[in-house]
Amino acid sequence: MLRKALPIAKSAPVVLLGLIMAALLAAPVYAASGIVDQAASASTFAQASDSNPEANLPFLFAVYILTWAGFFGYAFYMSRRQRDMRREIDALKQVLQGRKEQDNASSHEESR
Amino acid sequence: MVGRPVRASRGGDHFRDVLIVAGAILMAATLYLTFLYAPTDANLGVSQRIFYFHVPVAILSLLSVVVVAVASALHLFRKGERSDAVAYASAEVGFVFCTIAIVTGAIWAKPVWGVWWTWDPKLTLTLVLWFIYASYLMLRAFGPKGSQGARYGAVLALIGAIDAPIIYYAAELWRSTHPNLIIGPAAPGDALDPKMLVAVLVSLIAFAVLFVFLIIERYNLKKAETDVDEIFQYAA
Repeated sequence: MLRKALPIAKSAPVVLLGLIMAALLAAPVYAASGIVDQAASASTFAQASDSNPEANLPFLFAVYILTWAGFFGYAFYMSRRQRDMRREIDALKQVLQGRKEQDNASSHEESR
Repeated sequence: MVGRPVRASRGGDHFRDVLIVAGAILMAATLYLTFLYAPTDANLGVSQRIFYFHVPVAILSLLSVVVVAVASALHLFRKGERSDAVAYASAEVGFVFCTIAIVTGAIWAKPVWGVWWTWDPKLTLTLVLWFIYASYLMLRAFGPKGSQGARYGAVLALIGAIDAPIIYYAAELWRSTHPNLIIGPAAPGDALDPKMLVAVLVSLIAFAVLFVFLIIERYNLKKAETDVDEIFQYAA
């Protein structure tokens, strides 16, 4: 039902990871624009006021880029494997179809 | 047999759709929790937000080798092709997760420890796990084909899975630069700020959905590849 409503779901792995990647690529931009919550917390991660929380933003950005590039690359690899396999199935169908026609022709000749 | 669809059953397709929708919603929630809800760590700054990516991916890479081992054990005892396909799919996805865990860990290590890599027990054992995944996949690709290759792979997976609990407890067992356990059954309850805990748990669920989705996709592909190979052999 959902598949009918969303025909795009046929190429689901690529679409899903594409959407997620686009959303997550925007994430470091949120952080860069200073939306980062500075709320204090009582945890083992002590809060200190003298550090610059945005100092390591390029590292965060690199992690997001590489992670989603990794997942996206894997999804792309799987979709290519699927495409190759469909080609193999088509080749197989042609071979079997040819064989069937050959069998039909030989049985037709025998019946004559 | 030739006209049989490559895709999974209709029920499987519906489950796949559910995973897609759930994954998208959970990833959006993770995005919100990671960047807006969770507080910024004062010592590590923004780089601590790598935690919400690195930790779930690393946990799932450990879980994956356990799935490979369980499926491999089932394959050895029952000789089922399905369990072998599950093991293979999980190994390949686990390899991707393990690679990402190592890369994200290295990037996080640079601002925090000042180096990209150190021969810390946890890091070294994770690298060993990466080599176990790689050797499993190479064995399946270049080793004996058919049931013999599957059996060799299953034995390797069972031995390799021993690495998973050692990695999990490595920071507790040895003096380690890597932080101690902060989530999981052996972690102390107050190890993490409640908001950070919520963010990391939601992120873990989101990545787990992605993990299951990728395994199902790879499983279907592996099954179809095996079927096509069999038909080719039959046709030849």
